[in-house]
Amino acid sequence: MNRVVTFLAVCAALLTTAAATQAAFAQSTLSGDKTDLIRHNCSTIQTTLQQLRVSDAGLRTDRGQLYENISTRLMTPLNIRIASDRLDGLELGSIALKYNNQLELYREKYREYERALTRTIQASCSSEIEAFYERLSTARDLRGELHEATNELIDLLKEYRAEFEDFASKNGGDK
Amino acid sequence: MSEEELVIEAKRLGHWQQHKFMVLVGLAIAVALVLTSISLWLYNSSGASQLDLSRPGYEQAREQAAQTNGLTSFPSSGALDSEALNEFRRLFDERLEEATAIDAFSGDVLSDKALGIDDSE
Repeated sequence: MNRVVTFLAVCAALLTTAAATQAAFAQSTLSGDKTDLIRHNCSTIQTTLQQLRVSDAGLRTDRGQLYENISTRLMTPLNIRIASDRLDGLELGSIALKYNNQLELYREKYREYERALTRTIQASCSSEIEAFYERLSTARDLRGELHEATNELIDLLKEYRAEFEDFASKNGGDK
Repeated sequence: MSEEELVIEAKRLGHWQQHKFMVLVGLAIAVALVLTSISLWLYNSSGASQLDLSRPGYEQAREQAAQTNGLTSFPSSGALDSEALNEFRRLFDERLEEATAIDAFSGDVLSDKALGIDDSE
């Protein structure tokens, strides 16, 4: 019986030590000043993040519609006409395919970013400061990736435009 | 069939048979709950919820999106002559200009400085 009690006591001590070490490590990632700033500006930060989420949703819809329309209403019809006229539009088709793949990546990146931002808003910046800041960092990184995905889309549009000019010059289009 | 016979008949019925109407209502509610849960799961997991601007608090974003509808399509049939190529060039340039006008999701709006939590100042 005594052995069981001793064993349980040792386990409890080990668990307590591990938890304390982890908490100490977590606390050490944020300076005291930053912790105070987060706690002090908590309501302002939460309002800013909520406003950002709303404006980003509008931006996502607006840009998403534009990017998708360029693909479905401009690139695809042109590629269809090139194919039906039996012209060489292989490169244009290839860029359009890359663009569509990138568009899917853009959607996925937005989904990830939006989830991360929502999780950040859900975390309490007054009582769970460590967790809040960690989620904020994740959302920040994902926003960067989303921005990169958007830039890639724009680059592909420019590439398509340049390739179109090349195609037009070979097929009697004025500049 | 007289009233007495009906009472005897009812007594012969089992527990479930006596309450079959309530069981039917209960099953209908259970099925509705299951289907609603599946719908909500799909709504959230598919990412549709993130694009749904009809949610409360998204009025501003809704108005912004409503203004950006309408885009002329390039016809997918017809000869690809000089006129058609020029038309495509015009349409594409308009859209490209629109796409590059905004540096979407840029800036460091989530930075410590922007959120007022930069302790290095």
